[in-house]
Amino acid sequence: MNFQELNSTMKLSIKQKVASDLALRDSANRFFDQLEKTPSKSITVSFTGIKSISRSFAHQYLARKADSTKEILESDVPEVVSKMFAVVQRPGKKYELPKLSVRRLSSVDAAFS
Amino acid sequence: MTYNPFKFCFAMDALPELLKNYALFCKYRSDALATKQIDLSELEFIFPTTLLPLTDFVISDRAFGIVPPEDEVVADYIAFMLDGKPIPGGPRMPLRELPKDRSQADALIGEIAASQNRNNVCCGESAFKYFLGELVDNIYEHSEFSRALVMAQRYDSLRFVEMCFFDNGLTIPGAQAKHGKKRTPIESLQAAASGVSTKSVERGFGIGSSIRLATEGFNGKFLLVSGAAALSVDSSGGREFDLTGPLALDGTLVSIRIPFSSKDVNLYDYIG
Repeated sequence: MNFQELNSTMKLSIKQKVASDLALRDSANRFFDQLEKTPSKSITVSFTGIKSISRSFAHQYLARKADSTKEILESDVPEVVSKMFAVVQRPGKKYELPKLSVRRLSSVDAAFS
Repeated sequence: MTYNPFKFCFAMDALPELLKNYALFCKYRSDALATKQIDLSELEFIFPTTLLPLTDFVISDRAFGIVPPEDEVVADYIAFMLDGKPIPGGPRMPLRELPKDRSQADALIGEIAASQNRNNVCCGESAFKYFLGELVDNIYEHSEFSRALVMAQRYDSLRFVEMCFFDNGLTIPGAQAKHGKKRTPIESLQAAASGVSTKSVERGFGIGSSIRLATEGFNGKFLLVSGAAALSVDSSGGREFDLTGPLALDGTLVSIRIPFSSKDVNLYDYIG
């Protein structure tokens, strides 16, 4: 590996490395585990072809990016992804479960009565 | 007694519909434990919310004799849902196991979405896949299951889809107890739905956002049964159920019914 390779910017397609639908935290972790092993200090992650992303994936992606030793940039980020990154970075209120009545179902017959 | 879930809609007005169908599974389970036989002979219709936990029950203990439904259509349906080869884009998503290798789960999520939300009958692609992704991710992150199953059906004539996920893992009360949280089963489900994560304060959006998206965004019905507690939410509100006793579940069942809709759902309005 030479100096030029170390300082070049590598471009990675997250669709090719993961999937077009980014769902699981574990997928984000595996993606970053691969990314950390690359020699380049600077990496551009292309989001071309991404159709959906879960909040969990987006959260894990951003957490791993923040902890990474690499300089990571994103390119070709579709709206579904940029909006989800914004949601994660500016978390709103969590779901508030309404005050609910509790009913005890102590027997199968009780459910059918 | 004829086991017809549609008839139960009238006989058990007090219970939410998905919970009625879960209770029907409990009925079969109780009868089987007493008689060593699962008698489906009078079955006229069965939804995934009954069939999926019943399937796990049978897989877990094969000592039961099974009397098949007399109705051939129902018998054929069950046979297909348990062992059929899915038709790409078809309305039936037969029994599938969540792969132990999480890297293979993405393909299964895509398969469920292609079958159940074909032509975006419920909502846009990204909202539907977001919903599935959060549900499946929660199972992998928290359950520590040895078996996790999924089954779904798109009812084109009834104009809704019903998707069920079951895992035989820790349960939500069990996972919280493992992290030192002393809560009743009901309190555990409340905490999980309200975003109290066992991992960090930045997490815990999964179940709550899924419930909100399903019930407010998709205008659907959401049932969560875990251990000895159940939570049922739809657009009219929610109810909780203490299932301590014969209606408790050794695992977690999530059942969702989503009506067909012509509107696209802006998921960002619901996920906080």
